[in-house]
Amino acid sequence: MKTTPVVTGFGACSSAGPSNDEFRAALNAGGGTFEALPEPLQLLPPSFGGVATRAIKIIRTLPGTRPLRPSTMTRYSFLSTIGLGLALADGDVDVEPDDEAAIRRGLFLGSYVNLPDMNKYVGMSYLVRDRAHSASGEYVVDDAKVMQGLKRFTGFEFLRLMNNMPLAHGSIQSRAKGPCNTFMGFCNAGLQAIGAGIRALEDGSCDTALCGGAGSAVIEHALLFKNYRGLMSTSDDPATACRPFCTDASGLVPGEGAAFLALETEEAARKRGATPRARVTGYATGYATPAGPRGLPVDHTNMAGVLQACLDDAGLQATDIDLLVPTGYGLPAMDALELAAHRQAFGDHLDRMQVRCHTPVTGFTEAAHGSLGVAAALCAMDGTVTDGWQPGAAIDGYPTATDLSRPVRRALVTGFSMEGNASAVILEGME
Amino acid sequence: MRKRVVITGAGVAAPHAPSPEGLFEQLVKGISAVDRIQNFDPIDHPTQVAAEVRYDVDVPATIGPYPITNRSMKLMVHSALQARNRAGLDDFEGDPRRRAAILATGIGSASLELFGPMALELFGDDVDGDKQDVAAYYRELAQRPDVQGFDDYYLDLAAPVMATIAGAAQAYNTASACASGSHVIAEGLALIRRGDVDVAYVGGAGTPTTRTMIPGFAMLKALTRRNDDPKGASRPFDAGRAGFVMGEGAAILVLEELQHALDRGAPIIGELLGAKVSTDAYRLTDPDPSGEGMARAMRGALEDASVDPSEIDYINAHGTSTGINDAAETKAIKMVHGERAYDIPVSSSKSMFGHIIHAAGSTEAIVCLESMRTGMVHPTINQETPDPACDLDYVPNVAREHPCRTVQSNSFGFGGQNVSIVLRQYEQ
Repeated sequence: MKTTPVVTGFGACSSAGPSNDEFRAALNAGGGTFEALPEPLQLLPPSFGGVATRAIKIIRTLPGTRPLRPSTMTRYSFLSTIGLGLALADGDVDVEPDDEAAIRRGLFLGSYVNLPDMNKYVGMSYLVRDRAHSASGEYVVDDAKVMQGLKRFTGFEFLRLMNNMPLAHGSIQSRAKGPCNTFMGFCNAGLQAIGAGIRALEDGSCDTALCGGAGSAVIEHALLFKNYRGLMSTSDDPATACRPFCTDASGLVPGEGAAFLALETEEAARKRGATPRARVTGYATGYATPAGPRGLPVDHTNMAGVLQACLDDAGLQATDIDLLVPTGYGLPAMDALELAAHRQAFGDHLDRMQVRCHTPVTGFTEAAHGSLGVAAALCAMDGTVTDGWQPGAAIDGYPTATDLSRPVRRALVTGFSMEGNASAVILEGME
Repeated sequence: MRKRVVITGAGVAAPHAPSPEGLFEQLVKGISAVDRIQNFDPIDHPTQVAAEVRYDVDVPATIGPYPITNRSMKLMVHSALQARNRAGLDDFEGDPRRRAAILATGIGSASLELFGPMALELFGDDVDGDKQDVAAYYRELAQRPDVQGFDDYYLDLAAPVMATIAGAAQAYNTASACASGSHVIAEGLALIRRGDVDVAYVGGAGTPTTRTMIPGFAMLKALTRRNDDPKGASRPFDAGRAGFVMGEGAAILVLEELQHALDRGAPIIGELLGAKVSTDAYRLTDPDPSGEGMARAMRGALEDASVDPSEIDYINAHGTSTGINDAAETKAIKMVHGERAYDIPVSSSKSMFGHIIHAAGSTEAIVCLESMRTGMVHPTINQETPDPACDLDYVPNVAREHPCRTVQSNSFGFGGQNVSIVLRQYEQ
């Protein structure tokens, strides 16, 4: 018989604050904390975004963090440490388990390529130029100067470039000694990590799977790269710029955050006296080659297919779903594709279900986005979030009759990447 | 009944050669690909040796909509196309939803050359390097969204490129440092066993032999500084070992559900019997010196494979040539195999092609397949001074004829991820 994992805790960290309560409050308020980015990031479009806390003391308030050194953390590690710590606390997960329990604990994380400090790289690239060439405007590296340029760096800065470092921190924090993996690259990576956690529980590799995503779009590389792709919001008003599915949406508002779930087999949860919050009954992922190397999906077919596969995996009909948490970029072309996928999968039922988009609260949070959506769904399911953001002037076909106060039993959360990768998860309330 | 998973194709772009047979032929001869670095002039660098890929691969300029420009991507594309061709899948018209691509990569190859030209343009040539205006650099970048090179910098498109080659409707980009190349094999095995897909392209790619990554890892004291003896620089298990040698390359395998492979008459080059992933949760930089986490992965892989330890004919070690890894791995092998550990040939391919980081595990899996095919185990070269902490049979310096029916391959990563896989000659 298929094992259905249960959620016994979750943690959500975003620009709303480093706590689940602040996340709930922001969801209810329907708006995020978007403000001018610090210099020099402010020079890059859109010049504002949702920045999560950078206070190291937050780390020390969370379970399992005593052995960790924040100086070894990239932004991703920092955020994932907070998200994971909140989930461990919320689920009352023992961070000093015996060896047997530690071995039965898995950790799965969606993240992104860790990147070097660009300020230092720019400075170093200039410092190591070959003067014999640079006088004529030609840039050539003088290898004899590289070691001198590297004095700006420490060895740890290279260690931090390893893409699995957030997971390495998390394994020490949570004493997870079982199966693990890091999924990188796209905004569905957090959901792929949750999918890996579900699989590990189903195949008996572990009893507890800590899984989720951490991401930041307010670091220089992400800002530059998305600007290069022409994806950033052109609005000059941080308060109203993030407008997924609206007729006046103008692009991404960058944000950052992390969200983790404590998933367990129901037996393991009951055994330790934990209270299951929900079951994870469905998961699916799919990829379709997009129109261009950094283009959007050719059409909505892959997204719709993933939605249907997720429903099939859960053994549900579209009409069984009460709440949809879409990805909601605020990028008109992508929003239109996503809506078309929802229409194909849900038909007229889309007009009768709740649609709750968390992007106006968190901004676009890269690999954290899908897992933050799962956290938002859990908040709606436990009845602590009954209000929230809804588009004012929605694009054609967007359901406008959403009643966010209705009880939610089953929720479907999407993570649809612009690069053609898509995932979805279904949660179901406990009976 | 659990699905059986076989390997039907393999492709590689290793420092020695761009094919599995070419690579193995040189490994058996004990030839090291480690040399003084040529990608850049390592003058004054603490580490000046690496195992570089010094040949060009002939790959298409584009795969689907993706331009194939940087070296990592080219090596991966070469390997994936070779694996696909050898698996007889070039013209296979199956259901994309029944195929997956799982690739391990690091960051791309661009670095100083990406940022430098604009810095020079903006700051001129007469400004002291420490006084340039980084804000001006940002401002300029914001005004010039046409800046090329950022695509080269990111390898997040590598998995989609491989998925396009594979015709796969599932794409995963994963990373677990030095364990990555075996980790993707374990992931592919799990996907096929679950029945999610019939075919999985799995492997890794990376070109970390850059003018910043080499000295960066040297600063971590992870790399050898035996610069005056490149061929002797990588010496796993030898008492004189003092750090690993960076390598570069790519290696891709096609995993396939047995019945699917039989139905289409695919060439079967081995069976993937089992895999296990464990985590040390110990330190960021060091493995657990007790070897306990490594042993859990090894033992778990054997259990997953339903193979008794006595059935293992050969172990391809992680064998990095660092003091702590090789001693811990030796302990782990003894914990799992007991007294028989002394009788099992154990060799480290890294003694000859260095540490290819994200592609190490998948390259070494291909080496294992070659051992099973040829009945030869390659040596661990540079065995000169025995280390009492490393007292197994490391096939010192000379290859050996040795029938390999069932083999085990280990990969252990920075950050504490351990993976072990078990392969066997295909038997009906």
